[in-house]
Amino acid sequence: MAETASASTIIGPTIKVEGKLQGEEDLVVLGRVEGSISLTKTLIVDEPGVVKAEISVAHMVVNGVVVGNTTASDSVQIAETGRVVGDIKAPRVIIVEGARFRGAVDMGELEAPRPSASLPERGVTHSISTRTANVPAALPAHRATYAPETVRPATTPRPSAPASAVRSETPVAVQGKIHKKVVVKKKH
Amino acid sequence: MAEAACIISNGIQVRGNLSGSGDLIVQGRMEGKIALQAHITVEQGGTVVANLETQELTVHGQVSGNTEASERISISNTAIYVGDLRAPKIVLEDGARFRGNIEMDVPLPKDI
Amino acid sequence: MSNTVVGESIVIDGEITGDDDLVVQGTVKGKIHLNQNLFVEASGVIEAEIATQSVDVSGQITGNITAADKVELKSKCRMTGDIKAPRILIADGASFKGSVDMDVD
Repeated sequence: MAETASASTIIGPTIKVEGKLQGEEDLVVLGRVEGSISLTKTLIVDEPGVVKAEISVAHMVVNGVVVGNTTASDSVQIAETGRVVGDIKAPRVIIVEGARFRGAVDMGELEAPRPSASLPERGVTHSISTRTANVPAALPAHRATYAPETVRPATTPRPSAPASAVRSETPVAVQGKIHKKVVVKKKH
Repeated sequence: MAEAACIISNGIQVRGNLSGSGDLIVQGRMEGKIALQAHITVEQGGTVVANLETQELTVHGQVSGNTEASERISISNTAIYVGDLRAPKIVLEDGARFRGNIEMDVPLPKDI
Repeated sequence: MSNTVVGESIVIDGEITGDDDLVVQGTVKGKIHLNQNLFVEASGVIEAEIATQSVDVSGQITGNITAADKVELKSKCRMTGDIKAPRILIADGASFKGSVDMDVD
């Protein structure tokens, strides 16, 4: 028989568990679990496993079918044969080529690019409209610093940026309209 | 990949609607709406604040908006995407930052 | 023959059914209905109604057992409940409280 030393739990392909499952070890599901699963470690749903449950784990790897919402403190990976319907809340979510998924994904706070329309009207418009540029030469200290001619890498969002963190370069002529260079200071 | 019909390079910002059938590469900033029956690539350093309707989207940079692709969407590990995705195939790489809904066709067993 | 193993730190509150053998090292509360055999290891704790082919107990069971084949209570196990099975083995050192019915037809 299996030794008791931290063996992971395996639910075999013909086994069905209906109810609450909790534990502090890894769990491999090849059968069917309905209800709720709560683990401090990893849940692996392998083919032909089907889990229809609320899931709360550290890691989850899906090669089978999962229907239900998942909260993972570490990561969720939907592998090539995996099919998941439900919401995922985890800091890392990986969906590989071939995986199928439908639901919401929440990785927590993200610094998302905002429309520049939410900037104050102090002329930081990069529109190609026919509006004349009434851009003052110097702007109040409210916005992210523009470094002319340098590309700001997209992977380093500014954490302290106010509501409209526009990561833009120096406006240049589009359609023949010349906009003045604008320089704004970072708000602290 | 076909030669890009349009490149928004990193010093350029465009605000408005963009449509057509050639590939698009965004290295700068695009804001508005894009309806392009081709491949859109948002490179690292590129920013798009727009709803996108396309065949294929590959994101290495930052996108805010909803995308509907008829073929495929791929969010790479340098990307930040906020918004909804809908496509037959969607890939989210390890390290990608994403928040929104993802909608793919998911065939489920009948006894679910 | 695949083995389902419920590990030591696992607690299942609900029903387990199936056609595999089941090894319990953790805790199961509820119901266990199998067409195969149940093995309750020394660390296993079961509070459930059990209906299986056979049961092999080294751990703890509270609940009634119906087995089509046999029930074996090993030394050091603790069982409280009724057993209904055509064959029953109670080892020296086993602790058992309940009734036994071997007349299974």
